[in-house]
Formats: sequence, C-alpha cells, structure tokens
Amino acid sequence: MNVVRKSSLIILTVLFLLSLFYSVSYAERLDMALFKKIEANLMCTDGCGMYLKTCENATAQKMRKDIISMLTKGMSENEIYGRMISVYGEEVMAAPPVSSKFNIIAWAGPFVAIIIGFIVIYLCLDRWIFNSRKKGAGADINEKEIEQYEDYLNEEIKKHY
Amino acid sequence: MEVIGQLSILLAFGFSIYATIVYTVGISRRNAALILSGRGAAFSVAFLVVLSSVLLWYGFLDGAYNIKYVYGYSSNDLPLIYKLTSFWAGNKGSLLLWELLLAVYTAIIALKLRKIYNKCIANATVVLLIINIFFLGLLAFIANPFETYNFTPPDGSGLNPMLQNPGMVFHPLTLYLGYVGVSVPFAFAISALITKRTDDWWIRNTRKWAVWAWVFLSLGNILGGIWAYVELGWGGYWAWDPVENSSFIPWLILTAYIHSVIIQERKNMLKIWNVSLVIFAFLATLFGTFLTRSGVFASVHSFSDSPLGFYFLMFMFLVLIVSLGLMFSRIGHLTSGKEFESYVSKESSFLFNNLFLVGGAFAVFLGTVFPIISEVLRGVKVSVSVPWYNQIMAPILLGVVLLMGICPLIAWHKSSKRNFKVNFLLPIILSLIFFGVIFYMLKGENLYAAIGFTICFFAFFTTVQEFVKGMFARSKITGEMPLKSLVLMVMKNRRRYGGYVVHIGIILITFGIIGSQVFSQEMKTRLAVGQKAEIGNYEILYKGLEKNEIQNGTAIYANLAVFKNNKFITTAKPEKVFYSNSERPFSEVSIHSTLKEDLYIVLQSWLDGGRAADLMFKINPLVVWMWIGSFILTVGGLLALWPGKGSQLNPKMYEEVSS
Repeated sequence: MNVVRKSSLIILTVLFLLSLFYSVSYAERLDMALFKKIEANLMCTDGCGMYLKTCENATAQKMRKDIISMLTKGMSENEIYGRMISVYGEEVMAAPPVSSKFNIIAWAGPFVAIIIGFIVIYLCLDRWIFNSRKKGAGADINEKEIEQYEDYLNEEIKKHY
Repeated sequence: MEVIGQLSILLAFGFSIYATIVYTVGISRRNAALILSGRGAAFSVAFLVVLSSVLLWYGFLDGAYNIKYVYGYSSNDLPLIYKLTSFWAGNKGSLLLWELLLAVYTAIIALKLRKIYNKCIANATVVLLIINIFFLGLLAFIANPFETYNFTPPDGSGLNPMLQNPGMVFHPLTLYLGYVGVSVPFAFAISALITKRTDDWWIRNTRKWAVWAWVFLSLGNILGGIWAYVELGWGGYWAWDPVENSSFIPWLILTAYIHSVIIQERKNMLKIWNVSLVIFAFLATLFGTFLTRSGVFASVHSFSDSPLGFYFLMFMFLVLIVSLGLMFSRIGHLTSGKEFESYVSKESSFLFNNLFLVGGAFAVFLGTVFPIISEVLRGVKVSVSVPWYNQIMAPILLGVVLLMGICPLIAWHKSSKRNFKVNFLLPIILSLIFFGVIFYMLKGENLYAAIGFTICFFAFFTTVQEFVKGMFARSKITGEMPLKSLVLMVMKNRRRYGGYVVHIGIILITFGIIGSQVFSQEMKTRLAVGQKAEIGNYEILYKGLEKNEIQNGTAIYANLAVFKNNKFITTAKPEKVFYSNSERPFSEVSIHSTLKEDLYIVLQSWLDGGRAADLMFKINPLVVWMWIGSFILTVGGLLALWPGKGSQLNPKMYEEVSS
C-alpha cells in the first residue's frame, strides 16, 4: 500500500512539474509584443471609457487573461479581434474597425475634409492671383526690378514688424 | 452666509437682465444715460458674483457643511490649498467659476465705455451680458451652489483624492480663463455684425483677448496633461478623452484664428472666415461644457449628477443659429479684398496653416461624436480612442510643424525663385543630413519617427535662424552688440517674435510627443524583497514596503533603489495612498526625469504584507522636452501679450471707433 501511495505521489509530482514546465514554456512562447499590440487596440468593456492598455480594473484584468489564453491557444491577431467583437460588439475595438463601410467615414473623413479644403484654397488663390494680375496688368516692370523692390519691401517690413 | 450667497446670484441675474435691456434701449435711442446705467448694472453683476464666490470660498474654509456643495467636496482633514480649490471640484462650483470670470471680463469691457459712447463696445457688452444671463440663470434656478441641508453635518464627505494634486489647483482655473476668454472676441465679432463695422476694428480690439484665451487654453491643456501623467498612473499624458478633446478643439480653432486675422489686418481679407472661426471657437467652449455635464460620454472629467447638458445643448443651438443667421444677413458687409500676389507667400502659408488646424479640429470633433453618429445611424456602438487619434492626428501635427518651418522662409506678398533658393537651400540640406544621421541611429527602423524628428529639426532651425538673421541685421545697422540687438529686436517686435517663441515651444512639444509615443518601453513585474527588475539601462532593486502617515490618510510606498549602468542613481518611492474618505487606494507614481527619458514607476499591488510587490515600469523618452516646450510656449504667449510699443502688428494707426 505504501509503495502505491509513494508511486502515486511521485507520479503526481512529476505531472505537476511537467505541467509547470509546460505552462512556463508556453509563457515564454507567448509573443509579448503581439499581446501588447492587441491590448493597445482594445477598450475596457466595463463602461469606464478607458482603453485596455491603460485600464487596471477587474474587467481589464479579465480581458488580458482572455487575450493571453487565446494567444496560447495559437489564435492569430485578427482571430482574437474577431472573437472579442463577437463577444462585446464593435465597441471593444479602440478604433472603429474598417470591416464596416460606415466606419470608413471616421478614417477617411478628416483627410477628405483637408483635401477639399486644399482644393478650395487653391481655387481661391488662383482667383485672387488672377485679380491681382489683372489689376496690375498695366505696370511695366521686369523680374529684376520686382526682386529689388521685394528686397526693399521686406527690409521695410522687418523694420516695423 | 448661504442666504447672502444665493441672494447675490439672484440679484446678479436680475441686474444682468436689466443691464441687457437698458444697454439695448440706450444703443437704439442713442441715450448715454441709459448706457451708463447699464454699465453700472454690469459692474453690479461682477460685484455680486465676486461676493457670492468669496462667500462660497469662505464656506469651504469655515467648514460650512450645511451647504450641500461644501459638504460634497470638502472635509475637516483636507489641506488648506485643496479646500480653496474644492470651489471648482464639482459641477455647481465650476459653473460659478465660469460665471465669475465671465462677469469680471464683462465688467472690464464695460469699463471701456467710461470716456466715450461706443456703439460697438456697447453691443459687445450686451452679447457678454446675455451669456451672463444664461450662466446666472443656471446658477440661480438649476445648479445653486448654496443649496443647504436643514442640519449641519460635523464633517464633509471629502474631495476626490484624484483631485488632490497641484495640477488640479491650476488646470481647471487656467482652462476656464481660456474658455471664458473666447467669449470676448466672440462678443466683439457679433457686435461687428450687428453694427456692420466689419473692418478689422473688432480684431484689433480683441487681439489681446484672443491671445490671452489662447495662452490659458494652452496652459489648461498642458497642466491637464501633467496631472494625468503624475496622477492617473498609466504612464501617459493625453488619453483623447472626449472632454480633453473638447478643450483641444477650441485651442486648435483659436490658433487658426490668431494666424488668419493677420491676413485681415494686412490685406482686409478673410472676413467671413475670421468671424466663422470666432463663432465656432466659442461654440467649441460650450461644447466642452456640454460634454462634462451631459453624461453622453464616460470620462474622468464628467459631472455625472448633472441635468445641465440639455440646457447647454439648447444654448449651443441658439448661439449657432443666431450667430450664423446674423453672419449671413451681413454677408454683403463681409465682402473683402480678393487679391493675392502669389501662390507662394507668407499669406498663403497662413491659409494652409488654417487648413491643417481647422482640419485637426474637425478630426477631433469627428472622433468625439462618431460613436454617437454610429449608434444613431447604424444602431451599433463603436469606440474611438487613442489608436484612431494617433493615426489621424500625427500627420496633421507634422503638417502644422512643417508649415511652421516653411513660413519664416517665405516672403510676404510673393516669394521669388531667388528668395526661394537662398532661404531654403541651407535648411533643406541640413535637414537631409539630419535625417540620414537619425535614420542611421535608429538602425533603419522607425521611418516615421525619423521623418517626424527631421520635420522638427527643420522647423526649429528655420525659426532660430529668424532670430539669428534678425539679430545680425540689426547689429550691423545699429552697431549694437549682437545680444543687445537680439533683446531689443524681440522687445520691439513682441508680437512677431513672441509668435516664433511659441513655435519653438510647439516644436519641442512635438519632439517630446514623438519620442514618448514611439520609443516608450513598459514592463509589469512582480518582485520579491531583494529582487531586481531590468528595463532599458535601468536596474531596480525592491527593498520592501514602507508606510507614511499623511494629513488625510496613509501612504504605502515601495522602497526601490534605482541603478543605471550599474551605478546607483536614486531611490524611488511609488505610493498607494489610502485616503480617509475613500475605500479604494490611489496611485502616486514615482518619476525619475532626465533630458533623455523618464523612468516612470507605479506600485500596483503587493502580497504577503509587502514581501512581494507588483510594479509597473515605463521608460518614456523625451517627455521632459514637452514640459520645457510648454514653458517656452507660455513665455512666447506672454511676450506676444505684453502691452505697449512692440505688441502691434505694424505701425498702422489704431483707429478708435466712435459713432
């Protein structure tokens, strides 16, 4: 009986050590850079409004454990995002996912606005320069003289401004 | 005391209505007596609001816990400085602070009418008084800070520990000085529309107010960032929280305005644009106040117990409709000059700077409201947080900094090819060399960071070059010593060189942002006593947990010996503070700052009575340059603001308006 008990104890100890080794080796294999990247792209879901990377509450801790668990199962980055969205909805992503066409408005909107603004400024400048040239069309002045006057003008402006 | 306080607010509300009516009638009938009566009433409003504010402060100092607001935000063991700043810790007090500043600003403007009947200033005062009516109405009937219990509790419930930080002493105050300051240019712009005086008189009259508001908005945002960095314990300084955004939007618009008015002053152009910018800057300040009080967004800044969001929303719509309606009704008076000499001139660079700044403001606004838009239109909640803002705003910020570098190199009116070649050649060559060196130092990685640093270098070089060129040019003409020339040149052209100093500040802030965002390192680890952690070139030895009694609680701190390159450099003591009025502990981080980087340590938790501790270590490169840049920015703003000769744009005569 004692032998059986001793054997069981040894087997259990070996199994425990093996599992410890296994988990440690998994932890080593865990891509921390990827974990941090995923963490930085998600929101904490308890309504605190913080993004996961900066949140330390219990929900955030649980989400981190979930991410580590998914990574250790060998899930890819996109698969993890997909799983998170299926559980918590799009809200879990720290930036609107481009998988939805509507969200492209958020990504493209500012740059489209700036491009439109650029075109408007260009057209206005074109018009204003045309007006200026039209007004000054009678003036008979060459490039060299313009540069001389320009230097003079800039000096004058510098003196007073 | 509370009765006098409440009565003061009610009386101030009455006086502000009276002042608005008599001013309006006085202006329409050209009756100086009525206008002077209105002016007296405006002073009374200021006096009464100051009185009620002083009484509320006294309530905090005296521990008048029968006043609900004092009870909610103070306690006997609260340090004196925080008893004073508890004034603006809550919704009602912060509204009173807003009104206090607004009433004082209104009185200062009304004071201008002392010697002369000026229709334009009188109308601006009326606009300010109407804003006063709104805030006083809220304080009198919706959010009364003098509301009382029918008993006196022996102690208050205390101040939120997160607000017990020097940053919180100045952050709200400076931000409100800026927010409310925007009201003045707005009032003058509306007055210009009412009186059809749409030349640059209102801009000249309010330039200092605009710069004042801008300086304090800048300071408010910066101090908020510092507070977040040292108090919130997540290692960052800006989280793109909706309320942070709402103070950043008016800053961006006001920055655009401060640049674009120069075009109106010089060329009598962009009148509609400038009026629009001021209107939207003012609306953006209201938007920020709406966000904190609406409960629409989760935020560390929210006043969750507030029903005021609805009123602010209505007021915003009213301001929007009336202002834009007035502007369009005066469109014929807003026609302006339509001549530019060249595509490449300082003026056109200002247009592009406005494009980036207003584009940035639009981006931040879109990011802030996009979750609501998505929920309303798609029925799907989305989040817009740090990753989105970083990706959208980074190129916009670099665009602004690049223009800062280009602008000093371009002449007014028109840049000739020769001018272009002479001015750009050296900065471009040096910047290319700098790019090569920095890209090599970064081992060919982080191209974007290398581009960002190069843009900062280019802008820094061209801005400093402006000072150096000007100094030697002046020294050559006057025969003065170069340093004396520099000082005199700056002092005699404070508006221009103050602006350049601000630019240097912004460049350094950008330098710090790039460094801290791209190259930060983070490690979370558990250390037993005697164990060391390694991050970067640092080694941190955990020596155990210790306790420190403070005035209103207990601080537990980790005793850490910090080594760099195997050499002891400092002892770090990150804390968890248990305040007597709070169930959960609050982090006080430990920061070891150098010009190269910050070592940022947070004590997260501990086990076995401190035999092991969970710690977060971060290396945040170049953060200190953000604070240095912020200081320089403030100095530049104050330089541009300083009154007297040298603060004007050019020697053009100031035209006093009277009718």
